[in-house]
Amino acid sequence: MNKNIKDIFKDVKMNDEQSSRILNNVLNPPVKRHKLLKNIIITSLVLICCIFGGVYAVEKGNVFDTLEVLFKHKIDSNTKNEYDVASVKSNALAVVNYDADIPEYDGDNNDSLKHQYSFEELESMLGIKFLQSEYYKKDFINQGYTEKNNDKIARATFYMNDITSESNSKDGKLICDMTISFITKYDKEKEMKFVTGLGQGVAKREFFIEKLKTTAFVAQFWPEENAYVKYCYIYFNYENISYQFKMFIRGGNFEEQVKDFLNSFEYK
Amino acid sequence: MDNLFIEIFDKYHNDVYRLAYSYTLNKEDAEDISQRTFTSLYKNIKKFSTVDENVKKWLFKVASNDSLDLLKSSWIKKRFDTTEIEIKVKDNEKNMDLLNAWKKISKKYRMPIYLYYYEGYSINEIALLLNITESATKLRLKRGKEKLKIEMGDGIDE
Repeated sequence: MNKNIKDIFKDVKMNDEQSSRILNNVLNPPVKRHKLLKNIIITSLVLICCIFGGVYAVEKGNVFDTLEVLFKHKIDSNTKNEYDVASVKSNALAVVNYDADIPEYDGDNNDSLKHQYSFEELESMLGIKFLQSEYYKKDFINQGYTEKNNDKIARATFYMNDITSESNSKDGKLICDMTISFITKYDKEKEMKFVTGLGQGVAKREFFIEKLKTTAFVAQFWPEENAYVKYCYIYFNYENISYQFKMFIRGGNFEEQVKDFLNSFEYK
Repeated sequence: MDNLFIEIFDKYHNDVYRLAYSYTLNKEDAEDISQRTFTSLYKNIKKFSTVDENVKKWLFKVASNDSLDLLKSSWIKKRFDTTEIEIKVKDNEKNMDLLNAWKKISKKYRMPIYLYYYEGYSINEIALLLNITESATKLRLKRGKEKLKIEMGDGIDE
């Protein structure tokens, strides 16, 4: 029985999202407001909603290279909680070998359908270069959602989880998932959209990547100076390819670590 | 203080989650129990100075109490959420039968059996963790195993 019970439960683990969410909720619990203050705020929000006739306001979009970031400030109709949603759009069209022998894949987690490629393999098939980083500790990348239109590659996503799992910088630990995606002229929508739900107290930041001469959009969760754990989403476009990162940093200087990370990208 | 908390979280969050999951068989409930357990740890972090087995036992005690409270609450999810495990054990008939039997036995038997067989705790340690007597622990283990056997048609070794 011992072995059977171990077999059943040994793989039960929290995923990164769950552990990050719990850490966030424990270390930065929502602030409870005074009831009167809460009522005033709720009344004000209802009035604002009535005046503007909608449940959200849209802030002016920011443009980073060929990436557009649009913020929507939303109010939950039930709880009256306020939060931001960042909608990141890219309409850059990549010029690739549209006939590359990469099968269509619906992003299902079925391992038998999922392909893994080395960067060299992928670059040679698609006829384009991908940015690489010294942080990569794996030499393969997984195929994500891939779509074809009339047998021509229209949209493709590749990802690498936990790319820095073996890397512990001397002043902190950085864990990061990366997704690379692009659309081509065969894509029906001619637009890629990544939506990041932001909570309260999320810093919307820009990081200029000196080496690439482009700017990355960073949605930084738990931006408080004293927060030991930092969590962020990073987006940037480079030569019509979109690079997205979900980064988790423990300890060390957040700014320096993000800058070092972003400046580590180059063509090999 | 945060550093110690993060260290403890890093080391034991999966153990707490697994314990809660073995009891509830639902990811959302297991996540809620884990969050409340670690919130409790954060509030009591001054009681600890190192990351050791005592911290794990303390976390297990909080998580098991919370699980029992959840059992009494109407918030508990009625639906089992075991697809991920089923995919992993689908090729092993015995494990699949055990999982199905695990779903059917009363929740009060799950935790002693899990702590005894998965975590390797002694009767005395389980009794302390679950706030019950040693004889009650022995009885739950015995009855739990019997129930599992019945559900599985005697298809499991001791």
